[in-house]
Amino acid sequence: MSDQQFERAVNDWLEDGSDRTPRRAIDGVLLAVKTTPQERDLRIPWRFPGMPAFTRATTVAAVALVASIGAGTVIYLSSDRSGGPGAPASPVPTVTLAPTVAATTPPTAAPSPQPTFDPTSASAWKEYTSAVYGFTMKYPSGWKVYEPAINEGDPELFSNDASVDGDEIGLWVHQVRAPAGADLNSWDGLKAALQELCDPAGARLECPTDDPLVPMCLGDQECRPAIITLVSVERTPAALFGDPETGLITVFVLGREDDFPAAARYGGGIQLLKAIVGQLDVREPKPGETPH
Amino acid sequence: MDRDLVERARSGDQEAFADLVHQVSDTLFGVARRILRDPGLAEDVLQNALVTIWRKLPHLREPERFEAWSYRIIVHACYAEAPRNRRWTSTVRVLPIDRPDETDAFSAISDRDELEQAFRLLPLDQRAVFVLHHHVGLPLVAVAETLGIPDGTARSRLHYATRGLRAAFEAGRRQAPQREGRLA
Repeated sequence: MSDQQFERAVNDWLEDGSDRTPRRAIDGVLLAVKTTPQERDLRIPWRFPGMPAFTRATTVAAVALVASIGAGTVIYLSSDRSGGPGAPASPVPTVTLAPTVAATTPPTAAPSPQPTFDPTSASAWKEYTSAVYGFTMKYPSGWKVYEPAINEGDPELFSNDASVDGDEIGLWVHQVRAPAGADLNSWDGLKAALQELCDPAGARLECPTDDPLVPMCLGDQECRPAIITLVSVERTPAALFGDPETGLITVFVLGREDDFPAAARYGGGIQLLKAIVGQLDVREPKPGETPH
Repeated sequence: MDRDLVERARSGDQEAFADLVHQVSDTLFGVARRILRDPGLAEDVLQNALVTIWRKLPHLREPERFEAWSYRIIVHACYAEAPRNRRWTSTVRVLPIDRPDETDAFSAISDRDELEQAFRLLPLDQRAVFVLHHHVGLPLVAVAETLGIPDGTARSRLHYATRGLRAAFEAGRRQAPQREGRLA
């Protein structure tokens, strides 16, 4: 059988059908654009009222997501430290960050600039307790709460001081219900859960890329899975971990690439995220350590 | 691609973006339709991708890279949509078995069915490389750059995709005479 026959058959098959975009599809897009802001300095999250009607599948998923975060939902970060579901949030204990030398798979994003930032200084960062979700975390000194979550389903949004860093960086913290059947006890399971939750339009959670994930461990002594992965077409870093008991996933998404110049003073976007989640006992795994 | 148009759309000009959409939508739809093998799903993905393009345009630092950037967005939109949609059912065509004089047409349809079914079995990342290379006509280096993957990865994905399609095609050709014999 000749290559020509195969190539001709592939060509005939591949070019079969019409590529004419249905008019309604274009009309829908142009209508959505009228009410959709472009991302400027910061990537402002797209809230439900602005979501165009045509995102049928994603809307259903998003509504389900919001509905799942009902009143009285147990927030992992607080319950983990206060000992029980529904207990009030307690301050996050100060921890010393694990060494920043990669213990396992190094990130595949573009190399970070040389760190000029001392991760141990993160323990002195500002503390923030989410009024909507109840979790407590720390964010870098000099940063501000740019847009707190108002309703369940909103992310908490933080931003840096552009006059210090040279440009703006946003940090989104989401807490969402894991999809049914999600495996929150493994690194790959976490990434798969994010893939299932994400929104191709980036309206809510951005989708992970094909890049290998960076495995992390949650817990000082034990190792519950946490990961850092790249998301969206811009390959910005995100950190996430889940709680199998409550079925909640906490996701930290940085709005800029790892090598974005304004992140350089933190050693890059990934190092910045590591420092932020490091305050919540997320650390690099020891050699050979796996989640258990 | 008109650089001026991209720059105007990037700065928020909705009319310029509408012109841009008219210029690129058929191409992007063609890419999504071929990767996903489902025109309805491709339409949804195209809409999501075009709105993403609008939202993220201010981040595009080099307007001359708009085309490659838009391919990347549509491919990622395909990846993102796939796990939610299990509509990868194979299409069964009705073969013209009562018209044995049209052997070439029979063979061509049979070839397409074999290729279609084999392609649907391929992972999306292999399909994307195959479509960008064979349909869009991008060299492999450009495919790798567009998708943000190493050259070697693009090469191996294309290799596995081609191997899968070729195996299905050859198997179909081997079976074709038997089928025709039974029908005669």
